[in-house]
Amino acid sequence: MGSGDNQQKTYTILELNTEIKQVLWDQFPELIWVRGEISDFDKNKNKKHIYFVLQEKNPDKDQIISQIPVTIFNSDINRIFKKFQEANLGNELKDGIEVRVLCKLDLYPPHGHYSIIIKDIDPEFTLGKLAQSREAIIQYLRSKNLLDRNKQTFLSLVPQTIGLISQLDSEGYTDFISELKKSKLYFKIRFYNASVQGEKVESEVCEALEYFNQQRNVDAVVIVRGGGSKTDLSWFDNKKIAEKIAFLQIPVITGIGHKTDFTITDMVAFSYQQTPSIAATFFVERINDFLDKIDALSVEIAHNSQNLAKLELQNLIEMKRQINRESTLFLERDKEELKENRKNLLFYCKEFFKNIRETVKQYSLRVDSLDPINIIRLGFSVSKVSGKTIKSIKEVKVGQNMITTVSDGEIKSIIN
Amino acid sequence: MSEKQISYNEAYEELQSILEDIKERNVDVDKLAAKVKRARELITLCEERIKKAEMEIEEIIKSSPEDKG
Repeated sequence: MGSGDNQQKTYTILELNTEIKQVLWDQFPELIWVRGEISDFDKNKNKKHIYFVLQEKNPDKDQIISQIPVTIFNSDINRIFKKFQEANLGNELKDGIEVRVLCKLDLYPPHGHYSIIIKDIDPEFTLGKLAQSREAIIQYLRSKNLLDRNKQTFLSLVPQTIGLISQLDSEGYTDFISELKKSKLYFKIRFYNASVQGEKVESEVCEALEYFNQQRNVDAVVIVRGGGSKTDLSWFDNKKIAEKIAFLQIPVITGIGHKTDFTITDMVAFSYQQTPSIAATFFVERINDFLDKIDALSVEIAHNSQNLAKLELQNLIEMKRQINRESTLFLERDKEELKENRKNLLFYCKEFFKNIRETVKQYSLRVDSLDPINIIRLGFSVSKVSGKTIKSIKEVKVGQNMITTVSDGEIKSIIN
Repeated sequence: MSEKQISYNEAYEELQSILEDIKERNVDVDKLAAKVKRARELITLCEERIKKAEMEIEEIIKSSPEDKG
């Protein structure tokens, strides 16, 4: 442009900026898609137009390598936010979120700053990014066996001392406390204040967990946070918090968000409860269960011991009855035997004497029958020759004198 | 024999063996009365022990904390 002398074209600043703007527009006549992470969004509260920064980080070092100013004009804000809301990504954009946006390159000549003006947004990209980073964390935890580590800790049967990690007076905090109060049970709460949203969540929740791990003065740690959008809750899809919980030697109970939410923090916890109120109910029920069991046990013990005493008493009564009966029976049997013996004795004595008498009689009969006189009386007689009893005819000779004795005298005869 | 030192179970076992002896006629008649007397003593002892235990249990049940609704 222009020749080499001092009549060369010299731009005023405005001319230069205006021309650069034209070059930009010529180079990028259409809307273009840009992706990056939102930063410096928080300062936009209650402003008409929205200004923030999109940045790109070195994926390994968490270090910003490039950034660009961003504008959303008031006329586009509602449409863009609504689209984001409908994907359950929150009511508005927030720092730390990765977005893909349709935009126009612009340069504002009075300032000479170039920027991008957002016209539309792709919620699917943000959802995908969230899911992607969440999946990467889950993979990592699984590979290190950290997903179930806290589940292996022991939870007291009566967890009355609770380490509460939440944001003071937040919805989750009040829900949890008021549900505990409703139970009328005694609880001791050790509260550690921590952000439940934004970039401080990681450091503050980790700090709180570390505090309870060192103090060892609670039965369980509970992390509660009220409901929120996916991006709100994505602060709890955090690797450092998950690792801290995994290595904690105290059981961690979570009540984060609504029923459908399930963050990585929930995943690694000892027990995941759907909401802060339900987390409180978890403690109340555990203690009530214990009390019920104790009650049932004591009733059972009392009942059984009373039964045992009754049973023993019955045994004893039976024993008493048997001893009375058996000892009486014992003597009666003895008496009976004695009586029997006496009777037997009498009988045998009689028999004995009867036998004796019989025998004696038999003997006397036999003795009688053996007396020669008795035989002679029957008609038998004894004959003697020379004083010798004659038993054979050969013992006598003719002419001898024989004397025959009969029952009433002697007969003298001569043998011929 | 000191009755304070005899346990319920010991007393009960002795009772059973006395009863067994009587049933089996394993006792000298001279000693039967003594055995029955001993059995009666043991029964009284056991009854007292049971009553005492029952009363203690009742006390414990009565003094347990308020019934939950």
